[in-house]
Amino acid sequence: NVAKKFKSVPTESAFLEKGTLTPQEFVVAGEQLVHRCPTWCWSTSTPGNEQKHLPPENQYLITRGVPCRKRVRNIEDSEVTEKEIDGGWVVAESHKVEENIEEIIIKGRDEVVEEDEEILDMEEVKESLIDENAVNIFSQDGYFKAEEPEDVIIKTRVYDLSVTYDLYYQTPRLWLVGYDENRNLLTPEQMYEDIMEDYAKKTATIETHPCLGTPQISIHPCNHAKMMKHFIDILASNNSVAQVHQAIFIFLKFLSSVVPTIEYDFTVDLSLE
Amino acid sequence: MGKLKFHNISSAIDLSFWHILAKKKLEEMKLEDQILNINGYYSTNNNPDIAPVFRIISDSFNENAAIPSNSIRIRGLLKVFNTKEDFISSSKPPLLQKAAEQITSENLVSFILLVYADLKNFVFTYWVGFPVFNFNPVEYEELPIQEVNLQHLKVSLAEKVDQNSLKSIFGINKTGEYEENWGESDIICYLDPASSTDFPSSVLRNILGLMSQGKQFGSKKFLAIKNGLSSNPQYFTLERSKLYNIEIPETTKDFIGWEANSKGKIQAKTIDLRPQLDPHNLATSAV
Repeated sequence: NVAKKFKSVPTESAFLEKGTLTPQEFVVAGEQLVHRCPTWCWSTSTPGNEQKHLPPENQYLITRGVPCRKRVRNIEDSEVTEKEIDGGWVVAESHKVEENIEEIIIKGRDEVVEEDEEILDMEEVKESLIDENAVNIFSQDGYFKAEEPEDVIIKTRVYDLSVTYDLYYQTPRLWLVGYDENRNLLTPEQMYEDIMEDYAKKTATIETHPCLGTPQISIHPCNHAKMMKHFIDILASNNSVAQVHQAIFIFLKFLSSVVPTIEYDFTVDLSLE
Repeated sequence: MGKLKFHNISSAIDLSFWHILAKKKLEEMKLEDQILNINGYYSTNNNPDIAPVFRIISDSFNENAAIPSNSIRIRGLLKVFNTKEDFISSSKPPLLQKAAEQITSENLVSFILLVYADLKNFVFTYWVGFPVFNFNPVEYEELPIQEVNLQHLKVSLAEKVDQNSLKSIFGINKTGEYEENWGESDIICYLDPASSTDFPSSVLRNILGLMSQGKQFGSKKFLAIKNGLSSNPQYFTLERSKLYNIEIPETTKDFIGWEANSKGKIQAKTIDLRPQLDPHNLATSAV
């Protein structure tokens, strides 16, 4: 990453002027997120991917198993009205999925992750791995599980979301890994179904996760500082001053218009309207 | 009254865990195949349409790995086989028994992850054993939740989340006061990762098993906490939590619990990570 080498680590705050964060400010804002929303936590990088400008225990933020009950195309028009604000960024005005709306049957749930059976002759391996003893006990009057879990538990897609610090753009950056109803990995194509169409092709890209070293879908951060600044200005016009510790809440608030059906936890304690 | 059933808990393994495991196998473990300690965690949540899981994360080799402050860490085991044949032919019940020995009042849930890693093709064959006490169905009765001072309890729970000191099991007395020592308390409270309100998860099954082994018989009240928690009592409710009255059953040290695959069969699973390793492959499969 050539850009990384030439960009020095910022130490002076430019949050109010530019909407950017220093690594230290990223940690301060992340601390506030994990404190207020305990479904999020810090994580360490995998060996060889350590981000030197961040403390080892504060490399990135992660929340796992976030439900995503609907595809973006299934959201009623009335639920989301899009409004273009400066910089070509589209804001979904209301994204909360109404709770009483019937679950949509997700198409294509069978077309995911076909295992390459031939390489290991896996069917044969699987059959041979059946534990006869366990089977007998398990089948005993269906007692081991609640009898009707398939009816009771409506399975949904889930996402693991992480937020890294992007040294080039000096903003947080969102990464997504999705799983289908049976915990098979979603393909990028399937994950694009959960990203607003305007972004799916423009700003959602596949790149190497800096802290994990493996490819993931990410929302490209080129406009994030501009968006952050936009919200800072809204707050200023309401006579309040945005604080650094609110930065990741603001970030997650505007990212929720990019992935409106992924129901991650962020508590907005700001009046942004 | 009715017969108590339990929602089984299944495993959810982070992709990055497999990457770390592959690296460790090549660089550190090599051909050693003794059982290693790893850990995981579970949480309560507000999503009744998502099956209860415990998570094995990239940091699972680190016993002090950061986990969300609304979560409970669990201690489990990992056995990596060197050959597919060893994986298949190894006797499974003693391995489950080993994991079961990790179940204590401090660690209500344990697991053993068996893996054969085909590192040339980056395909992992694995099977998770999640031991639970095997006993005959017990009678239970659901009691009105109003018996519990939920407001009081909420404040205690928020404080524990705030201080990162949440316990998987604790007690409350008649006035709703939190008691670390749950054995003698009026109501035994535990965090239940099965958010669905119809039945408790098998965490309760192991609590009943442990009490039975400790000769604590008689009927007891159990509060299953089935809501997501927060460090601020205003940000959550306990309204879907359930209060049960249960007679502690007679149990033996007989455990079951090999995990089923997505088709409901009690079998090993595979995960093929080749697409994950190749950004080009991912990019071309994208729109």
